[in-house]
Amino acid sequence: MSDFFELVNVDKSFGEHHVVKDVCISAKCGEVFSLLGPSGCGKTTILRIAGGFETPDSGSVWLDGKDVTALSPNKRKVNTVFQNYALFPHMTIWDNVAFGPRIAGMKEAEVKKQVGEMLEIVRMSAHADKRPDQISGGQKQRVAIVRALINYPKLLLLDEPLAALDLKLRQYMLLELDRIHDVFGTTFIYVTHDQNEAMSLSDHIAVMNDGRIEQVGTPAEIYENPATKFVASFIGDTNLFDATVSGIIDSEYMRVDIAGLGEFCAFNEHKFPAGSKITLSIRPERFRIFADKPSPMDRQNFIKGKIIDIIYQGAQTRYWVEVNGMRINVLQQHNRCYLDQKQPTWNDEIWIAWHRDDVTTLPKTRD
Amino acid sequence: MSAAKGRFAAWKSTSLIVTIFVMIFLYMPIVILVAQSFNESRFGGKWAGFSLKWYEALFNDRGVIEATLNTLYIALTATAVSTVLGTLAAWVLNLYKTRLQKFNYGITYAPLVMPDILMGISLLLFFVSLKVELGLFTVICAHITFCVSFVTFVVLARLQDFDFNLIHAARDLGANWRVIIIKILLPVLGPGIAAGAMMAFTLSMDDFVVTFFVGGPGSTTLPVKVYSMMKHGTPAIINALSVVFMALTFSVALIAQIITRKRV
Amino acid sequence: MNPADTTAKPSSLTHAPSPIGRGKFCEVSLTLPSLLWLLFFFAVPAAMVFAIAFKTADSSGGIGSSWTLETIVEVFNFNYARIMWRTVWVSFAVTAICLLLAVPVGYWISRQDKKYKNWLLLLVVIPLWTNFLIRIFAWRLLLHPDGIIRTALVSIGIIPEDVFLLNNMTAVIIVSVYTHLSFAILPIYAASERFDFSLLEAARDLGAGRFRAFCLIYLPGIKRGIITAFLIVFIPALGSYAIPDLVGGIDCELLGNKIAFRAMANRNLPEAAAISVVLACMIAIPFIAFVFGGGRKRADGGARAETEAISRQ
Repeated sequence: MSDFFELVNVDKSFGEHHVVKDVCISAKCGEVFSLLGPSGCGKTTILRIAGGFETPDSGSVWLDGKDVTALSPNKRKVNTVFQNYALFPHMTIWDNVAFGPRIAGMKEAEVKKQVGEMLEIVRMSAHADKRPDQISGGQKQRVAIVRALINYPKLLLLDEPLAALDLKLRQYMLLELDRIHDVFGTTFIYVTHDQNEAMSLSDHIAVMNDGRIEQVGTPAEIYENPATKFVASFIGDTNLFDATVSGIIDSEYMRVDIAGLGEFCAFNEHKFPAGSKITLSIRPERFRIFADKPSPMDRQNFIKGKIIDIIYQGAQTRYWVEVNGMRINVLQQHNRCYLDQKQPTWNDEIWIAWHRDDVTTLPKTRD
Repeated sequence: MSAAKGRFAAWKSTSLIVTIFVMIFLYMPIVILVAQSFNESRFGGKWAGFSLKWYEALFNDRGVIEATLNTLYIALTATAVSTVLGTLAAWVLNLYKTRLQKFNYGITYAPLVMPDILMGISLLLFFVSLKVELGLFTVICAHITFCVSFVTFVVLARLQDFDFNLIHAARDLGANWRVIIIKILLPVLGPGIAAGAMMAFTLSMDDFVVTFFVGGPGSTTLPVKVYSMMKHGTPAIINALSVVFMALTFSVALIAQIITRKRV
Repeated sequence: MNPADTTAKPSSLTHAPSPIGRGKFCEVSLTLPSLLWLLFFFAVPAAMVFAIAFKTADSSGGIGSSWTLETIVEVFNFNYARIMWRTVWVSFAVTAICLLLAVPVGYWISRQDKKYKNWLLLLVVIPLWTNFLIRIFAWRLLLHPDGIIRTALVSIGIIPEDVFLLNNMTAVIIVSVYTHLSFAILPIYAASERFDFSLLEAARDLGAGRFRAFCLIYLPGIKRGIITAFLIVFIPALGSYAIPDLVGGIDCELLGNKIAFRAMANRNLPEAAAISVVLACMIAIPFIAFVFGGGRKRADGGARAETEAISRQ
């Protein structure tokens, strides 16, 4: 499968605000592609450019091999699910879903059949005669999705579709969205600021910040191997350290000097030469806590610290460990074996250890 | 909340007493007026028996009938024109944030804080200077002028709740502008526009001061008629006239209530 | 947050490709109808009042061709000054009474169960559905020498036979309060409705007495509503004409009556214009005071429209 939907060097400003900066993304046919970033990062604007509601200042938009940059929204086979659903309040659910086919001039009998099928798919047939203000948020969401899908668009754009729902409903709707995606097989472009939504739904995620794409990858790639400091801290928790490469061990590993902590070993993914200024990211769950100094282990780094704060979180416990005035965030799962041990407590002097492969290196130059 | 209610009991009972007093104050005159219109006697001092004679006298008064027709004619015309002007104004005020709109906002806003009498005198001077003969035409122009601002702000308030994504959604589903206006804008904004129109209608029916200033022969409206009857005529018919007039405004208000509540 | 945030949201229409109305041409052509109407029938006449105040009167009741300062000077003589003063104090009295009544009523309604609130509001609004002149007339009936109130009061012996209720300042004030009260209640209710009553709890918790909590927390909390109510009552009261004319006596003339008298009966349009200028300046004072003093952008007409809207619905 080739690239089905593409944005090439898209740039957009509103007055003095440079909202989208030279963005290139490409999504494959049938996948769920997420744009993830904090609010104001320009992801909604990209979606609106894809939908034809905005024209880029420069760059082009390609869909299924055709340049659609200049086409208006009703001319491209793209439909949108709006953030607050935008269901027509004066029409019934049925009429809302039938709006598109009727505009397209479809025969009423055919409209009836199609709308019926659509409502069946999202289990809304029973509510067909209700008005939007008589159904719940999750139901509105489902109606908004089929209203957009009934035209069988090549691309479905979803703008923060779950933002208005509460947590439980959001989790349910994630599964529902996944199911609808399986039924239709349409390519979804999904905009969200919520990493969990993006992680659980997407084939690929583009992380955005301040109008730029920071990284594109599968959920695992983005979590395990963040390309920038921003991605590392935006996706999940992490500990970031400023460091200098103090020596090269072999073709794979290097020695790094973390200011204030000392020297450690790390995987040299980007082949930094000695003397490079870099940033290290270590996820809290990668650390292990030991009451006594562990015997030297294969490829492990360890350091002594003091527990200054403990937050019990049910399935896990978060520790704040102070080492030479630096605070390190450590997360421990509650495994059976830990119950046998004495639980570390406030002001305990302990050792933390981590594998040299669990250190992600980021070039210092980018934010 | 309930705790707050308890603790502020003293203040609560004071406020209840004031509220009851205010309600009596608000309704007593109206109740007496209605009762009086069926009273055989001319003044409310004593009840001289039920009578419809004032209503009979009223319906035989040609002046009153003419005034009623004038009132309706003026109110309908002023409503139609001011609704169109006000809706357009609200639309542009909501859509654009330019310097032109700031000015437009100011000039639409100003009539709201101008007392009737100043509006009346300024229009009188204006028409006199232009040597326009005072009459139905001048009254209608004046009514449109004070109605436009009210319609604008009522429709503007509704527009601010309007989700512009509805327009995007319709466009996204393939609708062109004609379809959007007919199928989306008018039905969704309809109640707001209707509310504005109803307001213009009742304001126009209610107006006395401005009409009094810019009116001339042949443009006597009900309020002006009531005024001149109070000044010179037999007040007893006014009781009946008031009740009929009240019934008229009440029905308009009720219709407005029903129209605006039903949709949305 | 990035400032681009607002611009990037679809709800912001400034950048949305809007249908009716993309571009300057569309904007201007849609703006013109109402704008031209208001310029022609509102702004020009208003400016004319100022100009005509400096014109001479002609003998046939029209406007003379030469300019003069005499009329405007004339307006500041002792006789007018008395009427100006009377207009101001009567308006203050009416506004004060309205606010004193409206605050408890607004508070009480806002504290009722949601089911009843709308009905109670409707009760406040219904009297407004009655024509303004008819409301005045109703009071004339009530206060009439043979009317129900005086007959009752005299028979109980509260007032002596020779006291009349109609055609005096008290009647003017009562009727003015009556016609404006609902307009004062609505904005105060609206503000009280938005007020967070747990703040009163907090104040009591921190040791404030009931009265102090009320004055220091509640009243400032509904300040907006009070200011709106003040302007909604005070400004029309300054310009009142029909009420003093119909229920007031010889000593109850206000500026509005003078304007009407000069414009209609006495037919001296320049003098009517001059008094109007004075009245306009008097209205501008509280208005500007609130707009600039309070730092509020739009002090009150929008609210008036809203209030009227609620009242008409």
